[in-house]
Amino acid sequence: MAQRSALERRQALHIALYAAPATLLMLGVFVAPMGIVIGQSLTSEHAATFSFNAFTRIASDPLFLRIGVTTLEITLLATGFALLLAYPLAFYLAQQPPRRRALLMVLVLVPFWTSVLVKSFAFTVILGHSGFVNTALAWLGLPTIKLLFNRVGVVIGMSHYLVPFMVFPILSNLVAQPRELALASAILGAGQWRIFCRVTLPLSLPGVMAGVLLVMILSLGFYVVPALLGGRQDMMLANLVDFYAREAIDWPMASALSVLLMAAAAIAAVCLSFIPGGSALLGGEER
Amino acid sequence: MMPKSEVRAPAATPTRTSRRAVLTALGATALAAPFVTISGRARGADKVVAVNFGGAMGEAKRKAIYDPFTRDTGIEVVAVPGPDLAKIRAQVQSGDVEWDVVDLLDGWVPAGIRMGLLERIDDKIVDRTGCIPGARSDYAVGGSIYAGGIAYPTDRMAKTPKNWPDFWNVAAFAGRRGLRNRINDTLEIALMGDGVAAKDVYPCDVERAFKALDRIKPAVNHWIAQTAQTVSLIQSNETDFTYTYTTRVKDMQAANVQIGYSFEQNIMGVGWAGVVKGTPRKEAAMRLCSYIAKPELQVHLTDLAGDAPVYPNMLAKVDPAVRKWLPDVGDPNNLFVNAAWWDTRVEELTRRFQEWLLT
Repeated sequence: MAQRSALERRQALHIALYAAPATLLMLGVFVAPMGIVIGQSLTSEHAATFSFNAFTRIASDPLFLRIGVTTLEITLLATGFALLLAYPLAFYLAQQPPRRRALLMVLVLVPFWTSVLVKSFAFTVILGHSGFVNTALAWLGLPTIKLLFNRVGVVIGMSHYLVPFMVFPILSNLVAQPRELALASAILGAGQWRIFCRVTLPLSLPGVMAGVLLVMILSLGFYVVPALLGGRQDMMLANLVDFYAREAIDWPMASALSVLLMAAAAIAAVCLSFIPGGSALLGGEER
Repeated sequence: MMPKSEVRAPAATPTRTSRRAVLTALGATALAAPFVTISGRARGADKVVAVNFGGAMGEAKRKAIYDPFTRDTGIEVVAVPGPDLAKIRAQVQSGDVEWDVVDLLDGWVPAGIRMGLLERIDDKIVDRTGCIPGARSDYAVGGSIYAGGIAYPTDRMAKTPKNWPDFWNVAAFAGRRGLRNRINDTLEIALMGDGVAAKDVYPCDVERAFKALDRIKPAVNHWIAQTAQTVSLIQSNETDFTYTYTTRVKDMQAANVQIGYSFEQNIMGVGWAGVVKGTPRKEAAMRLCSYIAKPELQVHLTDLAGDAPVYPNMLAKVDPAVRKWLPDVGDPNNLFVNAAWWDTRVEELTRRFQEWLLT
């Protein structure tokens, strides 16, 4: 129909009225501050004039590129590792009866409730030079391995925090898959492994993509965990954002670095949407 | 918009009105909310907001400074954690100042003055006679003096360095080193490690410092992110010699951890307090500053927390058990952080240091 009837117009108006408070809130609390940050990245440090100065300084110092590359490396590693840990976990949880699943979810959420400094000490006890793992290795006569204060430590520490974010989207997808699909496949002669590869896994890809995007965006902004558990090569861009915002008080630079991180996250979303299952990320139809 | 049917009208009208009434009510609430909070802020002239770094020092300040202040003036002190120069700037720029007296790091004082974030200290209210010159600023009050130096384990190493040239002498003093992952303090340490006397450290020869850092780099296995780690990493045998503060080692020894501290070639700094520009409670804030500057109260604070008072003639009054943890302000081999030197250089040197760390 080319024209909407009076009824449809009225319904559209009511929907708009209902959505108005939330939209205003989002505009004020989310869109406006983002706009201010983007605007701030385009001002000069000393006066309120338009200037590309911040971006020029970032482009002219190779330090930022190097740290940007490190940030991407660590983000991809942490996301991959979190996915490896979270998928089997979500799969196991999906098979549980609802009540036991809820109890086990509490265990999955426990990492959220510990402070990052306490976690760093705890990881030192387990993974450190004189920790459980290395003491056991030494007792078995094997050489000790450096599991902490390097890239390995950073990935382990970040995954510890990110696994719950990866588990939730995958779990909700797996739980929503009708049980009849697996039963039908079994009736048609498929073994467990085949059911998983040909039915469950492909159907769970939208959940996986959602989890991957969420975890990647979170990882891009990490800096405390890498600072505590990493080595000197594990510097993240967010570390510099914090330095410029709070120590150097150079807000255009901090804003410019933040804009670059936002752009990286947006590019990640677009790239993921090309992978099968990812089109839902940009609002497309699922597969 | 309403259907013409008279039969349907009475049923439709109450639903439409009640939905609209709900939305109107929500809108009215949203408009009213700012007025509710504004009137709340206008009250509270009988309180002052003090921002400090919390922890044991924060509790000590409550006992030694804030409580006597409230007892004498009747003004309540609301302690808030998390001093942050960026937050001060945001408050002053927006004209909405909530903090009154804020604890400041050395580097924040020249930066705060430059950006117009601090009120001039009213010398008619705040009496600072007798304080050391390094702890007197026109725009901030010196509340205490802290010191940093070498920490080492006392149970597992035969030879431990007690000064910075020894720290740099990896051949004679074998062991893993830990330095901070920031250029502040590390630059001064590198110069002293290279043999520069404390009085010649400023203005810093940056090239010489970075060459010295190049020499020590292979022996440093930790570039430490947080202060708490500077002692905990020694305790857990992750590293051997670090740069830390007297109070950290004092607390560790109180918990029977085998860790020692050297008072040679210490780097000292002042724990400042400033009044945020434009605060509505300026007079109360100045009065609190006068209490922060009171010699007897600083001695009590020292007894509780372990950092030195800014009045050298009051050292005799400090509890002897705590006095052995205080740095010797008159020792020519100790140096005070020169915040003015750092103010214009911190950004460029930090970038250079981060780049150096990555290679």
